[in-house]
Amino acid sequence: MWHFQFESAWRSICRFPVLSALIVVAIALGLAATMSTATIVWRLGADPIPTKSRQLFYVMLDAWDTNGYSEALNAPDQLTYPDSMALLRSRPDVKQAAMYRVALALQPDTLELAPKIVDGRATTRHFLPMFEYQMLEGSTWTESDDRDGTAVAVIAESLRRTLFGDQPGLGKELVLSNKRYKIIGVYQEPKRVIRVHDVTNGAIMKSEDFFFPIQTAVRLELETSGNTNCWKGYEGGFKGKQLSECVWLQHWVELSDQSAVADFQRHIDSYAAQQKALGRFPRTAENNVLADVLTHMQLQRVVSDDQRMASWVGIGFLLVAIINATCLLLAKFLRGSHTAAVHRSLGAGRADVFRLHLIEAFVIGLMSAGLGVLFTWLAMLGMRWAQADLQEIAVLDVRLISILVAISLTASLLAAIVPAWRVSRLPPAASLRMN
Amino acid sequence: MSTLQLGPILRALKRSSLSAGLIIAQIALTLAIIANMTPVVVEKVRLAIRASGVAEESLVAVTAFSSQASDALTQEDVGQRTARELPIILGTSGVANATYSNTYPNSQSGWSTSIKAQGVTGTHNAAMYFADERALDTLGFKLLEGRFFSPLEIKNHSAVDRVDPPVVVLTKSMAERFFPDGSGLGKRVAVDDESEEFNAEIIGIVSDVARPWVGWGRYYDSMFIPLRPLGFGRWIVQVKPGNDPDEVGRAVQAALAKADRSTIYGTEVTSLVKARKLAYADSVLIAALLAFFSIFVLVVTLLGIVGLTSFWITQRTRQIGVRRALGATSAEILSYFRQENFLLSAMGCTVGAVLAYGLNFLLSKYLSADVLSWTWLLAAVVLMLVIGQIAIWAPAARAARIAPALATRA
Repeated sequence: MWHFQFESAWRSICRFPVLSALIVVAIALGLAATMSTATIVWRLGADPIPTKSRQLFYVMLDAWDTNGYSEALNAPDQLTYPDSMALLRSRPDVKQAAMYRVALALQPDTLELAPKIVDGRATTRHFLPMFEYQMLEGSTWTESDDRDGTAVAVIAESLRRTLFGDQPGLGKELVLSNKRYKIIGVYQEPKRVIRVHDVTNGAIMKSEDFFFPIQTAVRLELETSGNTNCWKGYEGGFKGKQLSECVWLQHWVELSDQSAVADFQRHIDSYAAQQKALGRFPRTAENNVLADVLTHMQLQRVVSDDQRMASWVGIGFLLVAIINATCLLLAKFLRGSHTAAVHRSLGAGRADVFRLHLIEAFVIGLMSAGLGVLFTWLAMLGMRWAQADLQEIAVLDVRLISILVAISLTASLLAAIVPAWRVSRLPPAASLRMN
Repeated sequence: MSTLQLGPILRALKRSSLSAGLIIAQIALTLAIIANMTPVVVEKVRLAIRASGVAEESLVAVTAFSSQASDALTQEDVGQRTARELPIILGTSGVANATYSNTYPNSQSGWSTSIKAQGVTGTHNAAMYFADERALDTLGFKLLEGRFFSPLEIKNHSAVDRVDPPVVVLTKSMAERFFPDGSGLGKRVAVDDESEEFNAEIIGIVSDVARPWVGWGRYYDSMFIPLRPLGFGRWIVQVKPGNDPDEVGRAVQAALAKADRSTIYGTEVTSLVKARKLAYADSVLIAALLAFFSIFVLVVTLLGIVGLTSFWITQRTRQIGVRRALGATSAEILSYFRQENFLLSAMGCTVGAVLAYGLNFLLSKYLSADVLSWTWLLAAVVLMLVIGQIAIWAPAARAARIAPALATRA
């Protein structure tokens, strides 16, 4: 029975090979357009830290000038040093991570290894547990390290391997830009698509080579290697910058429930009002944001508007392909209505004719899916070639392929419903007489 | 030659109203996509091919990063170091010239500042290029007025003081922000809008050099200041004709690294051609995707019209034969299908125009797209009408060849 139905569907497809091919190729292209672009949006926009994304909040205070900031409604995406430190000091009960990015020269003790620039982050002791870094050796630094600015560092497993091979890193020393740091911990770099804790300096980045106390960095006057935005000039180098209105720190807080969020929101609001009273915050004291991880990613356009647009156009393309398939299937089914009429006159019911045509659409859907996977693979190959950042993002996996097959079958069946219904309604006698 | 055959066309379309409706919907959707995407693609390509104003093909940048922490760096170090490095670079095979700077066009990193001109209201943002006396010859932009920096004017940047040079050189576009009539030479500017002291004299106006960042407006608003960057800088190396910039850059890096272990060279060795590719990779990729999608949508719709028209002609073979037998010429049959397609396309375009503006409303509201101009819409409509006529060309010609005798058969 099924064998006959599939064979009949295949015969019908082969009767109009060009028309069938057009339907299949169009749907496959539409699928590739949709899947290749939607994959970027999904993977970049996916929750990078699902267990914590509702407890971690990015702090934005509107310390900006009344003119000159382009996005008039948003507070700047980083904090000034005084504001960030004031938040740390005023609420020691809340886990907070103030941070900035540094680039330092790694100077290995042996001459065999060439010096190189390493990417690090100056932050508080809470950062590693807040962002769920898995510790392989030791642990994060202590409160007194944070207070005193001790020269300690927690390094990435990859850096440990580069420097010490098979030996543990704990207790060893590290020379960074002519300063010695004691290694107190080694972590496994998390496998996250985006570096969620600092998307201001680029979302698609691998995790840092090391972390160390922010007070240590400040004591050594280490400049940030990340973005600094100023609306007001300053003098006196790093010390001047520390007092300036420039924004260059990212600031995260961990808040476990709604009441904690509301409480901290009140705290930053009152802090902003207080600063306004002191003559700072010229724009407004009410534009203070606590954004959870996904909101923060949305505000920072981790998935760019262009990428979203491309995926919507991809979906539009698929829609055109489906309408095209409906139109052509209608033509095709009507042209083959003689066979249906023969089936009807031999005793097949309308439902049988309807089912037979849907099976044909199912076969078309399977073919589109196969070709669609190939086209998507090619599209992703091209995307990776054009933009190296997409190396680990524009890749096919089993999940994507199954979604693709499901969409293909749904699209083909959707396209065939009306044409199949039409042809099943034709009076058999008229079709028989026609030919 | 042929009269309007509206009556029969409408009756025929009414009989296959479902197919007609579907093809109209397909044309409408295609038009909406094409009309919205073409301007996006054109704008992205226009931006990506803008000239940077420097001789990108022969330039390569090699980074130099001092391992001294900034508190240990003195200004003398930078001057001594670069004086030591320059002969090594110039002695490397394939090198024509070199200049030490903080950045270069399309690098996506650099400094900018607000500047003011004496006697002119308003401040403007300027990209700051640190330059030595070799920048003009090495980078290959042109001196339009005045002069460029002399060796004695080049100072070393300090970590503490504000950037406050006695002389600056502006690009033509930058100078014209303040002096639209082109009288900028010799005027004084304040580098940094906080300052009311107009300490810097404009000693030269040069041809436009792009800012390091591609994503912002005012692409050519740049200013050169006679400073060597502290801590982190870039040697911009000009290679002799016939040499591969990347190869020469790596040779320069190796030569420098051999001579000095306390400075880290060439974390980035980037030819300026590659820098352009990197800077525009995102927008070029999106432009390419949108262009491909638009072209494929057009082709699918074109072939869809071909398929449907062919089917209609097969379906109406007898009817066409009857008309031919009753005296219709083959030109009239041809004209019939052209008019039919024109009617369908026109209906599709009417619906599509509404759809296009609807889509544009959503795109501009949620995805910061520009407002669709009616000229782009008109161009897309014309394109759809032409595509429609092309699509029915072969099937209609086949219909016109149907012999009157066919009517008598079957």
